Amino acid sequence: MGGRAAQPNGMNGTSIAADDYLRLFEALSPLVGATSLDKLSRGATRLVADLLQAEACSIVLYDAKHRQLRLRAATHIPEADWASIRHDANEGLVGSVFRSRSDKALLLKSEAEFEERGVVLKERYGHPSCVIAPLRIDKRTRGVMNIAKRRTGTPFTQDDARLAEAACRVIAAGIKNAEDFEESVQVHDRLEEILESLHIGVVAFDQELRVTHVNQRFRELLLEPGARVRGRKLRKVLEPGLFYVCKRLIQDSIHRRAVKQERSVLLLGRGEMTLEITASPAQCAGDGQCDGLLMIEDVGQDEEVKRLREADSIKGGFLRTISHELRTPLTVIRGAIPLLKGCGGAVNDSSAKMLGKVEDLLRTNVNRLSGVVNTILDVVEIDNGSLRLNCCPVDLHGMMREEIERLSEAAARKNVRWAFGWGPDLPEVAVDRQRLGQALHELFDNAIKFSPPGAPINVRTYTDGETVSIWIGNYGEPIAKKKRDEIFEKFYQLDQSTTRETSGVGLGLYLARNVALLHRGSLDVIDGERGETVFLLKLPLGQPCAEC
Amino acid sequence: MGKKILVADDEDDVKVVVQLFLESKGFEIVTAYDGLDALDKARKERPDLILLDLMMPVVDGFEVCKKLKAHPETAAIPVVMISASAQAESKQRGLDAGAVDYIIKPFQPEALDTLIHKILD
Repeated sequence: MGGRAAQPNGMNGTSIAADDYLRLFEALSPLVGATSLDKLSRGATRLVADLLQAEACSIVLYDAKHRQLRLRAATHIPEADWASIRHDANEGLVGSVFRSRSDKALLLKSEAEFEERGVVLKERYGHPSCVIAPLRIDKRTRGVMNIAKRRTGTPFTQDDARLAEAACRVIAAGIKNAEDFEESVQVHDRLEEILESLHIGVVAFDQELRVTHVNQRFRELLLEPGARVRGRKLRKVLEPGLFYVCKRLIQDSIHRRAVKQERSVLLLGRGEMTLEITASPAQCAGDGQCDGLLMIEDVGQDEEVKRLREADSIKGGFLRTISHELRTPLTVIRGAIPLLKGCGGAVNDSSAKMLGKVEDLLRTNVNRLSGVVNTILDVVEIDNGSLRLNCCPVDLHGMMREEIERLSEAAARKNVRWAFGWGPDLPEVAVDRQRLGQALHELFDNAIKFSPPGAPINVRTYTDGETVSIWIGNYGEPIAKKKRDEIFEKFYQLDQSTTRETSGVGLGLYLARNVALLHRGSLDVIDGERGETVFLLKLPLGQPCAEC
Repeated sequence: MGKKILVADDEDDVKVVVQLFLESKGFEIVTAYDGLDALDKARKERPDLILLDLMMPVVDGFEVCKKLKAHPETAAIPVVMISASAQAESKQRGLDAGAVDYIIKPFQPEALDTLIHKILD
């Protein structure tokens, strides 16, 4: 038999039996999903040796990091020795057979050998007693499987070689899986190590705002010693004031798919803290659901922060005082308006008419002033994180009509035409009536301000079963794409000139977007049809805002 | 004879304008200038309703309301809190102290009238 080249399998001259493949894949399939390279290599060598009735089977892989060929498993070498059997690899070297620690008979020197021939049937002892099959991962030969028979064994056939080659394809896929997994575990461990050592508090959470991880610094900074937080909702973990600031940032960051940062002074259980809070969305699914990260740093000891904080608290306090101080005289003026009628001042029709006009003027302007005062106070509360919603189900169409009615004079001055497209069967939505009313007021007011005289303002509503959309479109000057987020910033004025036609303190849209976000909704500028600028307000259905 | 309403506010102008407006609606008005005065007038005058400003010198609106509710002679008189603070927290504190409602300055006088009728009728 010696010397004779391998013949096609068996007496019948056909190729390998389908049964053999079936047995092979059945046996290998559980291994392919293995998450450990050791387990996979051990199992695969035993299986293949068994299948091909071979004396020995081994797997050698190239370790790129150490530039070494390493024995991963061998049926004929004690397991304790595997790890120590390795040697430096030269360029192009892909595999070798190790029979023992000392014997390093090199069988394959280059990838090219496989490129040409694929699996190799080697002769030793004067007959084919050795199969060397490539383990190809990502189109590169990463190593080999050696299968060998003893001197007296039956020679390998070409079919055996092909079977080994097929097995190696499956095993290579398994190796890749296991390596990827091991790498990801390593990366994960390393990341966790880094996370723990950071001098900034980090909390990771899932789509439902449940905590998946907090680091040591976060615990020191914000939690009671020994507090258990994993799996609990952020709302339960963070103190309310901090939670609302965080929630707003998170919603904003998810909404814009961008990192959002804010410095906030908060009165927490352990005293006043100045925190720099950064929210970042992590994995975002197509449906807009996002995991995310919060990074929280105590910046209270920074000199600059101390100065800013003083200035900030003076500013906040000033705004609050001034708003409160304005409320009392406003109450008096408002209260006095209906009394005008009772003064007996109107002695004839024309003076009665004039009195009516004066009354209207006073009323309109007091309302306008109250609106500004309320907006400023709300913004102070939004910035503090202390704005709470008070939600109940409302008829949105009714609310919108009311707000439009309140602006009827401004609309009439501009000769605005309202073009309504009320969505049928709009369900009731749970909202904070007052806040959403304010947001709608700002949006309608804004549409009127920027609408050309005589042009229509499109007001449409529709629902997709999950959200209600309110579409308010005007045909004014288009807003440049890059300004579409800026206009929602605090104190932003589109037109900075002193002769500007539009007025306002620059808080309306800031307030409107924050009200939308507090409702877990959104507010954006989009393009409508034929140059229409659309403010699109979306509110989620079926989840009353948290503060109900 | 109209129902009697006690208006407690340290701001004279607010008191005057509320008084004039409510008198024009047919109510009889008694005023108080601080918390202690309010408690005193409530006991002496036995009003049908009390409009109580939240921020007042000496004793604030919350305290006055609690004391009114704790005293058997005045416990049954409905109290409406008036405040320049729109914060939900203040509102809750007012309601916790026993107020039937809470209105925020600057309010519409007509709305005040409606509210009073709702409570008294």
